[in-house]
Amino acid sequence: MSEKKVFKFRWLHLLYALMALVVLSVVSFAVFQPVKVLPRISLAPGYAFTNQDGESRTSEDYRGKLTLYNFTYANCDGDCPDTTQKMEEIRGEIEKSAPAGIDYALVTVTLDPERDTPENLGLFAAPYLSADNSTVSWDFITGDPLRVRYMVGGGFNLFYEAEASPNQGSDYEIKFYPLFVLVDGWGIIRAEYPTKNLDYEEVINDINFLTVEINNSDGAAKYAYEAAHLFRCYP
Amino acid sequence: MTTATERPKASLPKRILIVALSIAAVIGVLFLALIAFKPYVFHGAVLQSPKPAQDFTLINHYGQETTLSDYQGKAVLLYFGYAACPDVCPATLAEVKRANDILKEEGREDEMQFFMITVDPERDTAERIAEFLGHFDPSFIGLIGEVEQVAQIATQYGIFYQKQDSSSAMGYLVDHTATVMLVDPDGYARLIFPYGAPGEEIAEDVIYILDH
Repeated sequence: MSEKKVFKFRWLHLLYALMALVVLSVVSFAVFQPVKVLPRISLAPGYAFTNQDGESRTSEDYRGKLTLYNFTYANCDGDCPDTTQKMEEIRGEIEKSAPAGIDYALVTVTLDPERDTPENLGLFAAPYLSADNSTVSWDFITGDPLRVRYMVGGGFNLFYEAEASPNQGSDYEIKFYPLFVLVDGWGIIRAEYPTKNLDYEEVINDINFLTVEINNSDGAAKYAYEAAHLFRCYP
Repeated sequence: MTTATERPKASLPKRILIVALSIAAVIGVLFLALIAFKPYVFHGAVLQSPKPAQDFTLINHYGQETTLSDYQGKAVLLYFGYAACPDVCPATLAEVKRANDILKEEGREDEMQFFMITVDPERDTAERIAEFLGHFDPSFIGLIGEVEQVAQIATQYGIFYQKQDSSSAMGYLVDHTATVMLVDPDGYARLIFPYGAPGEEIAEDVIYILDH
């Protein structure tokens, strides 16, 4: 009859167990992604333009704010993918649902700066800003056409071009794809939404991810968030 | 003869001691693992762009063409400023010089290159830039370009700038974003340092980027 084997404790066993625990923890973090973050996609462009009231607006004015950009122009109608109405809905949702203690801003950039002077943009913006007591600022901005192209085409990677218009009363129309871009307080692009029918819940969810990350950017929790970026724990 | 089944049991105090030591060892090793495996937290804001930083070619203050991608293999610090800048640029360059000095102390100054791209291309000649940068470090390089060329590069690097009227004898001032960007040795924009970032923190991040 063979002798019954009895487990003998060895310190080496403890070391193996601990190493397994560490590896398991790291793998679990990467697989289950208990902390989710939005990617830090790229730098948002720098600019110095003018808003619908003729006031200067620069990229520095939005530093420290979560800013949602959209792109359109005042003569955008018919099949043109104008997203300004959607921005208005999102603005309302941000006021209702987004976490407090963070500054939010909306920026609508014209793709037709030749025609969209600050005055024209003011007329275009008026219905959206008429009863404006919102805590979320909203600027409609325009500037030198070449600089707008640097910003929109080079900085936000949105292609747009003028084409002869089939509509009476308009010389040309701008062809472009709808795009929303969420930029953090560092001026870093954190989310892009290439759609006309952006679901506001998606934006609010992303804003929530960002605000939780901002609120945990100090102390020990920041290590978990940096690890989440390291393991690309993206929603 | 003593068999395994007949192994004498440890006394209660000894068993308590073994359990206590084991728990202490687990906590100790986990703590050490946490320290060893904790991700490095950069002082600057991190970028994770999938595309390399936009390449450009400008004229340096020695009159030669300088292309960003020629500096792959080094950590490049990019700053947008101008020679007549009264306060923000000198304060930033002093911190970058401090970072450069720290790398020098480690014999690694050749692994980092600082460029200042002028946001005042209408006034900044090679001589003006050379004189301005000469106050800080001889390794610093100033870059000059055409007005539209500088505007395009600045936009893509997230830099705003515009002239401001001033009663100063030096003429107009130029408001500009005062961040410093780090482009890693592979040519990717990796970090943004805010205005006022201490040279020690810049150096620490540069060294980490170089070593990883």
